[in-house]
Amino acid sequence: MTEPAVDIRNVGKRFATHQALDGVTLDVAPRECVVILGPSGCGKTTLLRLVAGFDVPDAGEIWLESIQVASPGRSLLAPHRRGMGFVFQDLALWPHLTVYRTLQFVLDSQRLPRSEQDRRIQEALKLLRIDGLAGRYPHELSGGEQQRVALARALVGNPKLLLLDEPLSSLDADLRSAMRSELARLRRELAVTTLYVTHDREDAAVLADRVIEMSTGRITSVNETRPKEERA
Amino acid sequence: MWRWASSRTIVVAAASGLFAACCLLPIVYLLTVPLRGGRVAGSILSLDARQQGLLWNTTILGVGTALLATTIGAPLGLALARVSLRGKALLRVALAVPVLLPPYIVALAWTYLGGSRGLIASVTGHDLVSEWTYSLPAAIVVLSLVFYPLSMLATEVTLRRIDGRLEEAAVLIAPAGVVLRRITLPLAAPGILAAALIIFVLSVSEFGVPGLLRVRVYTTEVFTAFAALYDFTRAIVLALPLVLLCLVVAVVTVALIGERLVSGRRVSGTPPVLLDAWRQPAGAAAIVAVAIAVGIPLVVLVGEALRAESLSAVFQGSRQAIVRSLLLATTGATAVVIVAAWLGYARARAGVRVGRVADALFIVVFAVPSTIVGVGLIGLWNRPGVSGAVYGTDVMFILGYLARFVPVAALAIAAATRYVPVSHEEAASVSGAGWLRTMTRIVVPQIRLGLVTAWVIVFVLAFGELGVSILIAPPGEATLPIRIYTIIANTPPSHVAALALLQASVILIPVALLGGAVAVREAR
Repeated sequence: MTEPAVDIRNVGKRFATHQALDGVTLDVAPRECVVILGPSGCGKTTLLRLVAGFDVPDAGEIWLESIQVASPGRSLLAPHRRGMGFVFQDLALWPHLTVYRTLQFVLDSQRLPRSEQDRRIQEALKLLRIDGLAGRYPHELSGGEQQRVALARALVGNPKLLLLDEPLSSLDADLRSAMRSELARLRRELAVTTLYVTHDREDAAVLADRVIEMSTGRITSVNETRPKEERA
Repeated sequence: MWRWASSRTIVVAAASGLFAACCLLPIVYLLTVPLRGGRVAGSILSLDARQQGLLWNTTILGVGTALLATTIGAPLGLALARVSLRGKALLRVALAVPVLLPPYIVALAWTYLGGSRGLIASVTGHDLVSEWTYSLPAAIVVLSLVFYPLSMLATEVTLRRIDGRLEEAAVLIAPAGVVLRRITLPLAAPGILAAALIIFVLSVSEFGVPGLLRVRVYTTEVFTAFAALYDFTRAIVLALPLVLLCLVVAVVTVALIGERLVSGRRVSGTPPVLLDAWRQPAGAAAIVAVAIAVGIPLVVLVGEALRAESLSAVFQGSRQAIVRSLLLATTGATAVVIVAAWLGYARARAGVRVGRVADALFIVVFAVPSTIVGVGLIGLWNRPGVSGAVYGTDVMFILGYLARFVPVAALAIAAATRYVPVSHEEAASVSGAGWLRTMTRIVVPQIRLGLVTAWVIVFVLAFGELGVSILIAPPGEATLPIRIYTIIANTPPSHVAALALLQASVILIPVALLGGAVAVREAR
């Protein structure tokens, strides 16, 4: 049997008097895309932040590819050592760096030679169809272009796990639909293990292999939307 | 929508008129006097050897203080913003205390420590450091210990305004040190640099510390030219290069800070605790900073004051100056806040362009050194007629406080007003309230803490004000800072230290009360 790429075991998290997560258990298979669906405040973003290592759980364990990365009250592996890409809801593009420098920042951490860095950056720019924008700053980009840069940043380092926190929520309907198709294409081409948080059922319908529904910090249902043999 | 024929226009116009008369007129007067005399204009263009020496000392004092204060303050600000320190609120207040004390009081304490008859000399039996104590480097160190909180607070505020997700996005990729160097600090750099420039301006404008430590800079020479030699023209000639230097730096500062000066923007996301591994060293460094900048001066002053035979006799001898200072600072703070409240409101509701011009004006006026404002006020008011009747009275002190502190108060109130959404006023307006009623019933209740903060800031500044006061004080009518400064040479150090301690206490008590009020509000 294949080891899960992400293994979340009975995880709990409390903020002051609010129990954000309560005994959440979930595993994600390699190359699987799991969409976590639920209303605001149900704990889906908290779960993503725990996997990323921005917060630590109060209870339970988190494992990535057989390595324990978090235990109650402790982070056992720093976020930058977990091999992940993250797309934030508000994108969080660094305002003082151009598109090229943003992607270069990711690859600098992997200590690649400049020529290899450049090759990988060009590849990512082409993949996201933003190859003419390398010299631009975030404020010089449209909403859709910023979205693509955020995705390029998350993917250029060849992450083992891609985390997306409502990445399409700030876009208008047309752009959201276009970007959804774009994400589906990337999923097919890259087959990277993905945890995708959203409140939009259409995102789930297009992208998910499995849909997890959450409410008040608990998983309330699990639905397989694509049989294993049809997955990317 | 601003209707021109309204009570708002009348009130804001009246406040602007007062600002122009009290703050701008003395500076404009000073700048135009030399233009009427060719001798003076020529002197400015050709700096003689004496002027060059002054320029050198002043520049070294400003640059040195800006660098050293930033070196101390910026890492502390970083620690407050990004390290989960224990007792952070208390630590922040303790670290900010030095900037509230009049700089000459801190300098006085250091002379009691390092002077030829100071603590170090009496303990070691040798005069090891007195030569260094009265020197330019010592003035830089003392002013850095006074002004580092400005860099610290600016750094902390700047970092808190950076969206936490920008750093989280980098934390996924690189270790904390790299994130700090390549993401956090470049984003915070304009704020840190602006604070350094403000420290530069305040240092070159400072009169008490270089005067006490016998360092010849522009401000002390302006004072000597006017007060000792009574050479008004020479005072102006000396003042102008400094005024121009301060104006240029102030404009650059405004350009760097932009809208952030009064911005009420709250960022999304919690800032990540980036440097948790540095918790202990950062906490230790903060305690060392408090000990050096606050603990040592206060302990030295207490030790010196306790040598006095009778503290009550000391206070009795200066009773008039103490009472006058309290009354003047209270009246002055009230007058300044009344004028600044309307200006601050107008600034908060102004468009981007008008707002930036107003910010530039406020910073430029605040940047003008105190002794120079004093000379300007004398030039304006010391003449026959109605103005002559005002000159020589305590009203001159109030005019001095207005000239110096309205800009700071207006900026503080503008920042507080920015937190009140315009829609609150619009809702009041559609409910039938006129502007004055909207202000008194809707806006003022929401900014009352900002108004009280501005009042306390101005009270603290006015109570310690020396540069303007020492020039415009009527003969025999001293305030406490003037009395302390003028009796240093011929009074036992214990008496001077006792008065300095009294002054520090009067400043710290309202600040502690305000800090308590803010803490209670935050706890809610």
